[in-house]
Amino acid sequence: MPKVSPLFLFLIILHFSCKEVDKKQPANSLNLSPVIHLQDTSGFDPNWSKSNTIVSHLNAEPDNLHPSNGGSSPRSEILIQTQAFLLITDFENQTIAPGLVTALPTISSDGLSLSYTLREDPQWDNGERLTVQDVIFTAKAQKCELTNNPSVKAYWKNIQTILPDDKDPQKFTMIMKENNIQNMSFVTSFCIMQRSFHDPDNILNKYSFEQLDDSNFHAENEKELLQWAQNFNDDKYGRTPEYLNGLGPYKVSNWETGQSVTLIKKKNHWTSNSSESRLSALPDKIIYKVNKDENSVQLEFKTQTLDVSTNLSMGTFTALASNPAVSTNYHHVLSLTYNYTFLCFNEKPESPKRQKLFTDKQVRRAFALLTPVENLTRVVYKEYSTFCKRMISNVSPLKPEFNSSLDAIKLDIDSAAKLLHEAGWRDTDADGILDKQIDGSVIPFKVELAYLNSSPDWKDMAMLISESYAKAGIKTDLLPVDLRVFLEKARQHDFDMILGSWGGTPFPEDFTQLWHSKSWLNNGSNYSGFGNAESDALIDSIKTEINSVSRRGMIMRFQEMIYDDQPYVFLFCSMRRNLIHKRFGNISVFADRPGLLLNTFRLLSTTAE
Amino acid sequence: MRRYLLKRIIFFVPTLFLLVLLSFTLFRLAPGNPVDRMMMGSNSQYYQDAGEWSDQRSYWNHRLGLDLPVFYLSIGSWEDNSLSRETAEDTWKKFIPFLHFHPNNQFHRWFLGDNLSSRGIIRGDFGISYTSGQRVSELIASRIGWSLFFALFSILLAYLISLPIGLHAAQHPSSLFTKVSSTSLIILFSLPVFWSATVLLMLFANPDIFYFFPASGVQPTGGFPDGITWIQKIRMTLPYLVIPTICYTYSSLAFLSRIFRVTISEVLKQDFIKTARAKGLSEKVVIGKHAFRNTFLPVITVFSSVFPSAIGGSVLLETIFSIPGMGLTIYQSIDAKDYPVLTAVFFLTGLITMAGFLLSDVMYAMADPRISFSKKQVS
Repeated sequence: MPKVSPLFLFLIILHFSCKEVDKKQPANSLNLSPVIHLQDTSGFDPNWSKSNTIVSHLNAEPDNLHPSNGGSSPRSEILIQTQAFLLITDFENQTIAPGLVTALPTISSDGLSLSYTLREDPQWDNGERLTVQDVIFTAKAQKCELTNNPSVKAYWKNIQTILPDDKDPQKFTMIMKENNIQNMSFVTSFCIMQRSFHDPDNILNKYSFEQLDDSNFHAENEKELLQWAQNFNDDKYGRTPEYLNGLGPYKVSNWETGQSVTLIKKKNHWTSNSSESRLSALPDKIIYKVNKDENSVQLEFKTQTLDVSTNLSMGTFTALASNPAVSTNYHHVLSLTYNYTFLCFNEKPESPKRQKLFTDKQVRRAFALLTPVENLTRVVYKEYSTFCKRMISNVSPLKPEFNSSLDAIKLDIDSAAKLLHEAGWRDTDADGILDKQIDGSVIPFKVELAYLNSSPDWKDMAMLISESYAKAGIKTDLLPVDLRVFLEKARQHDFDMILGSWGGTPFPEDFTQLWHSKSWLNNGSNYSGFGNAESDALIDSIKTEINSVSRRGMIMRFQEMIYDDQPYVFLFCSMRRNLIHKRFGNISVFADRPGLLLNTFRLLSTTAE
Repeated sequence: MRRYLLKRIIFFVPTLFLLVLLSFTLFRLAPGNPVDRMMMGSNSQYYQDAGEWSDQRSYWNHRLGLDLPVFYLSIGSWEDNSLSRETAEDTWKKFIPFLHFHPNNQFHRWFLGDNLSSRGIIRGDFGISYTSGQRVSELIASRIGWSLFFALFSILLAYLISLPIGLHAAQHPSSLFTKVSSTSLIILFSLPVFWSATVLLMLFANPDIFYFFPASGVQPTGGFPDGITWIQKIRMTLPYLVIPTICYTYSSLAFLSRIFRVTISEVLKQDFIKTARAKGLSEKVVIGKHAFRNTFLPVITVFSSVFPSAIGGSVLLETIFSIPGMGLTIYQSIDAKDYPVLTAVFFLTGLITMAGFLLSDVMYAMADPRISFSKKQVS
């Protein structure tokens, strides 16, 4: 019998373990609309689990599941199933829909009063009906300075008070301090909490909204309030299943630290008899399984341990999409999101160590012409890059208010060089780097490009950008930084260029945060320093214009201003990588977060356990 | 021995205090502010006024005491500390330098508590995690179990494997087995753990090759079914532990077996072994009864490092195998600048390391009576 070297055997095994990565096949579903409906199919492994349990992949554990104190994305994803909201996202139509209320609110002519009517049927787990007092408690708890919710506190500042209706106990009016187009949409992110569960002694009722807003009111001196807050903030309300209380159709039955969070369907839930699909709870159990390692995620899909993921890296998605066994059993779908990637210029450098490199919009335009956007999408999305949408302005092309009359700026090194020459940048010392006399001294065109060190994609993109800029005589120093340093540099305007991304939603956008000049002055999120009196006035008008048709015209004009000024080079829309087991049907993939509504998945097997 | 122990314990206190100072300062020197991370939520798409955001940032910096100086002490005269300043007799106090400690600083709050979220490390309260909102002691308790298990179990396994290999190599230094085993162990020692962990996963948790073990986690997805016995739980858990245990263990094998080999070789050359052999004792008795006891010293040395490594955990292995241990927690805390967790972990690691060294000193004395901790009188 011939002898086989163990090393040879090992190499053979290793070869076969890697073979699938080489075979690239297109994904079986590529659709660029904000909503993708997947056809139910029966062509999957018939021997696979028939249990009506979805195992969904998370690449990070939720920070907690407290109804108000937390900020991680996995937490938001789980709360959609366990909690309920006054208004919800209508994922199908990418708009806002009523949740715990009967209809969208009636808005007063000044936009400051939003009148809601609660549904009659929502019931807490102890049988109590949802009341206006629960809504008032929620708002007060969120506003109270002793509540540990720093990431959301500022959003609640705009609520002045909530007035219950004298005649109808189901009605209430939310009075806002300022008119803003987001006064309605922002409540889609905050779940309603049960007053009697979190505040059995009704402590918060003793304090008015006015007091909670008053900077001279020192909550820490109020003994009762302090005790309430200490109890409310207790970790058990964010981690211990018995204390995780909500109006959603699922409840947390088990949380294995660092491993998984298991939700089970509530019996006789108030949504049980509802015919509305968005309120449906079809799977008996949803398990969120934490796995951060890309290789073991791949294996867990090959072994069909995981049913769903929306968090795959492009490499894992590509490898799995090309695996015949995975393709047979899973839908693999790329879906566009409202998030986008950008390059931001520091238009108004304040720091003495920063040169005035990008104060001239002609130079910014030249950089836009030098940026190889198509190559950058190829870096991130590999062979699927052709399906990626280019960002042209600050508004996602998925939104109706996107200004389609604006043309994408294409790579054109000659035109860029010409613009730079016109702007006074020349290579006077023949060292291969452009230079210019600024404020009395000759400055070489050396740019520092800061990017996040969290993923190799950012590094690859930054390197491609620097290569392209070098062709026009610009030296780019690459600076990988972690998120904290990145944000600190951006807010303090201590950068030349940054490479980053923004998230988005389908809802009306208030451009103040990113583009108003006061957001630059206050070290807010207007990192570039874009803005003048005209743009500020337009932003102020947009944020108060309730009429969507009028608002759309204003937003189109605003995009033209941005396009003209070129504070950013807008790169591309991000794409979500979804893998979903075919044993479930009734699947829609959405552009908005979390991308999938697991509660609507229907088990296709007729012999479900 | 008692005196030595007492001395070591007295020496403990200033060392621990220095360690605490060092850990507290180091983490605060790193760039960035934990409040910025706390304020990054998943609702950033909605407008928040930059001024409001800034106010909130200041409020939370104040609430967590991060606006206070890290330390606050000043050098003045003794008189500044005296209650009777005006008397003529006290004039001399002006000329005596004095170090004044001011209580309103971050270190003081952490050490003695703030009467709100923490009672201070002096009372055994590490405070509350900035990111998860959990009490740090609960967070560590929920995570340390698996780290401790893998640290202890892997070192036990490493001893069980490396001891006979080392013994055989010491007795038969030129044998084929010795040559093959030492080469293989050196190769294993050189393999990066993240690589070998991935290769083992791809080989033995892969339905395309061998699907013997699950790919991630330490127990069945979603937890154990209701009503099963603990024996059934262990049986269900075992497949999850095989590959991680191999990865935790293999790198220690080369080191331990070499230590055993060298130690036993040295012992076998000693006069008392020759005497034992001369008395006609069998090789089994010579090794088992006389030589073996002397190999305990390296065992003790390595054992003292088990507990600190359990606190530190292994970031890479915990990430690859989704093990809910300390390594990942520390990594996430560094990323979020979660000072209470970081300082607690650093403090505990230091404490346990020192306790480990103390324990090993005692065990040395027990294993080898020739080791003495008291000073010998020179005659």
